[in-house]
Amino acid sequence: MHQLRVSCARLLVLLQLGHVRVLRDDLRWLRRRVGELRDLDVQLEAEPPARLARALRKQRLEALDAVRNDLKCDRFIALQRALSLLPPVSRERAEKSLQRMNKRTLELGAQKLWRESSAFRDLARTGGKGRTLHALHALRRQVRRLRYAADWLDTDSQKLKDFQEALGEVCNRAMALQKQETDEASLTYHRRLRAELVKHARIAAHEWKNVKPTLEELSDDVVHHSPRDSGPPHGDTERSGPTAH
Amino acid sequence: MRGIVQLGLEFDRLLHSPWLRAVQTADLLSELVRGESQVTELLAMAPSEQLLEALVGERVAVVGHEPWLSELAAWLTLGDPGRASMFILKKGGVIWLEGECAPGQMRLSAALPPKVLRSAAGG
Repeated sequence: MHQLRVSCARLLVLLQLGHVRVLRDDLRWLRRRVGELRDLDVQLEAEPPARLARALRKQRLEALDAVRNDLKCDRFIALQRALSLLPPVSRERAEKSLQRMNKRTLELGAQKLWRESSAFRDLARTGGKGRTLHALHALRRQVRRLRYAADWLDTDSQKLKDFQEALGEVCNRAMALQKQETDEASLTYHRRLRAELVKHARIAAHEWKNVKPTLEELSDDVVHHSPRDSGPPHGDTERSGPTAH
Repeated sequence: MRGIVQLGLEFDRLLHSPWLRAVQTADLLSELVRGESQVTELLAMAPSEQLLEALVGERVAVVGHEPWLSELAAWLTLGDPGRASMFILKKGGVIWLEGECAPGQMRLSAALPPKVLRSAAGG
C-alpha cells in the first residue's frame, strides 16, 4: 500500500513534467485513499498507549478494506489503462518543468525555513499546529516532487531524499500529536512525541543547509543544459509509457 | 478546441475514456474544467446505467468514442440508444445536451462538427 502511494506521487510528478493535466485528479484520488491508511500506520508506528493503539488498529482494518475495494473499482482500472497508453515525456519539456519546480522549492525553503526559522521553535511550542505544520507539509511535498523529478531525469537526488525524510520525521510526529487529545493516560506518550519532534526538527534544519547548495547546483545544471543534449530521457524510443520507467 | 473556447463553455466535471485519443482530447478540454476530471472504463464501452449514474454534475464534459457517444446521445434524448444513427458525431465534434441526465429527458442544444468549431475559432 505504501509503495502504491509512492508510485502515485512519482506518477503525478511525471505527468507534471510532461504537462499532462488529466489523470492527475485520479492519481490524487488514489493517493488520498491510500494516504488514510498510511496516516494510521504512522500513528501506530509512534507506539501509542494500548487503548489508543487498539482504536487505531480497528480504524486501520476498515481503511484497508476500503482501499481493497478501491483497487477493484472502475476508476482504478481505467487509470491503470490510461497510464499504460500514455506516450513518453520529452526530456526537453521535463527539464523546463524541473527548473520551475526547483525555483519554487528554493523560494518555499527560503521562506519557510530561513526567514521563518522560528518554525521549528513553534513546532516544539505548539506541537505542530496550524500554519507552521501546514508550511512544513507544503515544503515536504515540494521537495518530494523535486526529488522524483530529479529521479526521472537521472539527476542525483540523495540530498533531496535526506531532506525530505528529515522533514517527514518532523511532520509525522507533528501529525501524531495533532490527532490525539491530551489526557492523563497519554501524557508520557505526548512528552515523548514532542521531544522527538524537536530532535527531528533540528535534524531537518541541518539537512536544509546541506540541500540548499544542491538545489542551486541543480538549477544551474538545468539552466545551462544544452538543447543539443535534449534527447529522449531513459531511452524513450524503447519504452511505451510512464509505467515502463 | 479553440472553437469550444469561443462558445464560452465551462464545465464542473470532466469524464473521459482511458484510451489515448480520449485522454489527449480531455487534456486539451481540461482548461475549461473548474472541477475534477475522472477517467472511466464506462466510456470505453457501450453506454450503461452505471455511466448515467456517473454523470452527476451541473455541467459535465464527456470525452469518449464512437459509436458509443452517439448511442449515449440517442439514449438521453430519444430514450433509445438504438437510434444512434440520428446523430452524426465526427472525430473532434461536439454534441451539446441540456436537461436531466436520464433516458429521454435531455434535449439537443447543438451538434457541432469539427468544421464548424474550426470556423468559430477563426481558422
